[in-house]
Amino acid sequence: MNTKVSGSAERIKRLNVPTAVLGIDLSPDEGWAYVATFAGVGQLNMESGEYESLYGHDSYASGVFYIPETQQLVSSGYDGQLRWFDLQRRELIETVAAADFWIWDMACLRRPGQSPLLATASGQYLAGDYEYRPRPSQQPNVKVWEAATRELLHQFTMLPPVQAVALSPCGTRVAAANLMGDVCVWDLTVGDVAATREPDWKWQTPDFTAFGVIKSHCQVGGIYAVSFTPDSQQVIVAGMGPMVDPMAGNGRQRWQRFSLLAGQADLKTQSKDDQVGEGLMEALAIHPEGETFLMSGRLRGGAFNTGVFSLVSGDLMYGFKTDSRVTQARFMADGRMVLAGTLSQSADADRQFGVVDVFASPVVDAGTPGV
Amino acid sequence: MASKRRGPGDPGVHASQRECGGPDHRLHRRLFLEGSLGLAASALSFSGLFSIPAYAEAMRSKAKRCILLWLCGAPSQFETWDPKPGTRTAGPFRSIPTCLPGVHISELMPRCATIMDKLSIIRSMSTQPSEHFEGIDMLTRGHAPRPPFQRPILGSILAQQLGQLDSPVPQFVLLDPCPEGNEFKSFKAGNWAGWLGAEYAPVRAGGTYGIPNINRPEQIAAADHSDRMALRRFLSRKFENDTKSAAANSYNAVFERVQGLMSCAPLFDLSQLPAEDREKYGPGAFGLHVLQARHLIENGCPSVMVANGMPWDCHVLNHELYQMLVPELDQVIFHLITDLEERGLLDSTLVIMMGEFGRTPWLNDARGRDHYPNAWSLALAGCGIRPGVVHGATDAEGFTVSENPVDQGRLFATIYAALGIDPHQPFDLPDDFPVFHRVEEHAEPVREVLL
Repeated sequence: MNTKVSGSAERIKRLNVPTAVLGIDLSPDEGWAYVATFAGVGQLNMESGEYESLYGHDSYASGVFYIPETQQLVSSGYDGQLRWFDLQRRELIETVAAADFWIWDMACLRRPGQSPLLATASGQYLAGDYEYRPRPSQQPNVKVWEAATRELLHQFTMLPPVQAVALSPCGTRVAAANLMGDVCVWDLTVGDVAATREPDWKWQTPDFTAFGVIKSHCQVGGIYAVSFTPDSQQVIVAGMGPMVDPMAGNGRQRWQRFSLLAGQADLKTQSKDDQVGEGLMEALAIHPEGETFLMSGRLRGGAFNTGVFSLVSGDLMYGFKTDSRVTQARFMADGRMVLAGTLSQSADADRQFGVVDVFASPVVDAGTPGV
Repeated sequence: MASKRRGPGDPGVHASQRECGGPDHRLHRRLFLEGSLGLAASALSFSGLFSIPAYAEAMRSKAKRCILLWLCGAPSQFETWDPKPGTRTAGPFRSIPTCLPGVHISELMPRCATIMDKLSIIRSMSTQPSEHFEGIDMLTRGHAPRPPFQRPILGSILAQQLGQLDSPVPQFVLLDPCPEGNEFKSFKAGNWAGWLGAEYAPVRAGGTYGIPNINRPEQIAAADHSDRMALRRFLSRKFENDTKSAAANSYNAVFERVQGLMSCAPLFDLSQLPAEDREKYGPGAFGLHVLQARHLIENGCPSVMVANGMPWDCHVLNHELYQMLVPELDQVIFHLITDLEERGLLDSTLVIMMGEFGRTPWLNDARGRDHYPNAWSLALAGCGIRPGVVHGATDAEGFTVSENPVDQGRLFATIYAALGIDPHQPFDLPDDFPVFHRVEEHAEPVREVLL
C-alpha cells in the first residue's frame, strides 16, 4: 500500500489554562472549548484564549461534554460525581453521585434526534493479593446514562480500576478497560439497569501492565484510552507497554486494535515498536474521514508524543512533539487536532500549566479506506 | 492487657511447634546459658521462648523493641499526614478530620484518623539529601557519611542496645520481598552494621527471601538432632579448650546462631501466621510483613525493619498508585498499633513510620511528585512517645517548614531517647578511631513528642 503524507503537523496556537486539563469538548461551532481541569470546569475561547472558570468539583474534574439540546455541560470528577451546569443561567443545576471513587473517564455519544448517551468508568485500585493484583469491585463501576434526563440506563461491574471507557458510534455498545489489561464490551440493546451482567465480549491483553520488580511491588500501567472504530465493529486500546521499572514510565507507546467477532475478540494489529517511542499514551481520536486515528500522551523517550496511524495498516503516518503531556485529543471538523493536557506544575503560583494546543493536520492518503 | 498467645494445641500452630510441646522442652536458651537448666534442654524449640510465665512477664516488662516501617522511595506528605485541602498543591484527595480536634489527614487514611490520639506526627521534617541513596543512608544512620568510617544503621544499634546476642531469635531483621529497588538495592548491598560488626547486621527475609536450610531435615528425628548437637558441642568445646582457637570460637558462635535460626524457623513462614491476622494485615506483601514484624517482636526480636522495595517513589502516576499504597499503609498502621496496645506491647515498642524524604508540592508533567527534603512528615508511636501530638507545621501550600523544624539529628536523638538510650553517648570504638556519638553535635530530642 502506498501512503502519502502532504504537509506537516504545525502548531497553530497554544492556549493556556490555569491548571492541568483532563477532559475537553468543543462547542458545535468549535469557537469554545469546555475543559475539565484540576480546578474544576471552565470554558476557553478558542480564538482569543480567554479563559473563564465556571464551576468546581470536590476534586479534579476528569471529563466534560456539551449537550446541545439543553445547552448544558455535564462533567465528571474524581469526587465520583456527575454535575450538570446550565450555560445560559450560569448555574449548577444537578449533582449525581455516580461512583464511590474517582470517575476516571467519561465518554459521550451524540445521537441525531436523541439525547446524548454518557458512559462513566470508575473503581479504586486496592491490593487484592500478595502481588497486588486489584481487589474485585463490590459496586458497578461502568455505567451508561442518558445525558438530558440524567437517567441511569445500564450498569456493569468489572475489575477496578476501570481507567477508560467508550461508546460505539452505533450507540449499542460500551467498551471499558482497566489496569490489568482487561477489555469488556457490553451490548446495550439487552438487559436493564437493575441487572449488572457479564460482558458480551471480554478479553485480556497483557501488553499494557507491569508488575514492578525494580521499585514497586505492585501493578502499574494499564489501558488508559479506548475507542471504537467508525463501524463500531472494532476496538482500539492505548496505554504503555510493560516496563522493567514502572516508576520510570518508560514502556513503549502502545495501541492495539481488536475485532469483535461472535463472542470473542481478535487482535488485528498493533503499534510497531520500531515506529514508536516510550511513554504513557492516554488519548485516542478517530479522524473525521475515518482513515486514520491519533494516539497521544507523554513523551518519555523517542521522536514524538502524538502519532497518527493508518486505520488500515496500523502504520505510523506521522508523529510530532507537543512539549506537553496530552490527556485528551479531538479532531475538529476540518481535521485540525485539538490536544489538551499539561505542562509541569511549578513552585511559581502564577504559572499556568494547563494547555490546549491546535495543530494542523497533514493530508494523508492511507490507501483503501475502511477497516 | 494479657497477650492472646497461641498454644501448641491451637489450630494454625506449626507442626514443629506442636511436636515439641512438653513443658520440659519449653525453655529459653538464655536461661539455659545462665545455668538454670541442664543440657537436656538443648533440643530447644522456638515455641518455648515465652512459655515460662515468669520469664515472659520479665521480658514484657523490661524489653524495648522497635519496628521501623521503612517507606522507601519517600512517601508524599500531602497524601498522608499533611494534606493541604483547597490549595493548588492538594492533589485529588481530600482531607478528613481525626479524633484529634482540628487535626486533618488525608482521606486515604480513615483508620489512622481514629487512632491519631495514639500517634505522634512530625510535620516539620527538613533534611538535606534529595537523592535516594544519600537520603536512605542519612535517615537510617542518622548522620551524613564520614568515610572511611561506617556508622551503623539504626536497626543495628538497637540490636546492640536492646538485644541479646545469645538469643536464638535474630536481633535485627529486615523484611523486604523486593529483590531490586534501584538505589535501595545499592544500599541493601552495603555495610549496614558498620563498625559494630557483622553480628549486628540484619537477617533478611520476606517474599522469596526465605532463610535457606533452617528447617531440620525430615529424615533426622528431633531426638537424633538433639544428640548430634550435644556431641558436636562437646567435641567443639573440647577442641576449643585444647587449642585456644579463636577461629573455633567464631565457628561455634555462628553455629549457635544458625541453631537459633533453626529453632525459630516458623517465625519466618508467613503461611504459619494466624489466618485472621493475615486477613487483617493482608493481602499485600507489605502488610503481611508488618504482621510478621509484630510476630517477631512478640517473640524476642528487638528490631525489625519492614520495607517493600521503593514503591513510594512515584515520579509517574503518583495519585494512581497512592490510591492503593496509602490505604494499605492506613490499614497496616491501624492494626499494628491496635494489636500492640491490646497485647500490652505498645508502651515498650517504638513504631517509626517514615521514608527518606518527602515529595514536591507541585506535580511534574507525568502527574507525579518528585523528591522534596525541605518539608515533609513522619509518624511515631509507642515506647517513649507522647501520643496525640502533631509537632511542627508547614506553610499553607506545604513548601516550607513554618514551625519547629526537625532534622535527622534531632529525629535520631528523639528515637534513642524514646527507647531509653543515651543519644549522646560515644560509641565504644578502637583507639585509632575518631570519637563518634550516637547523635552528633549535641542534637536535642524533640521534647514535645516524648513522654
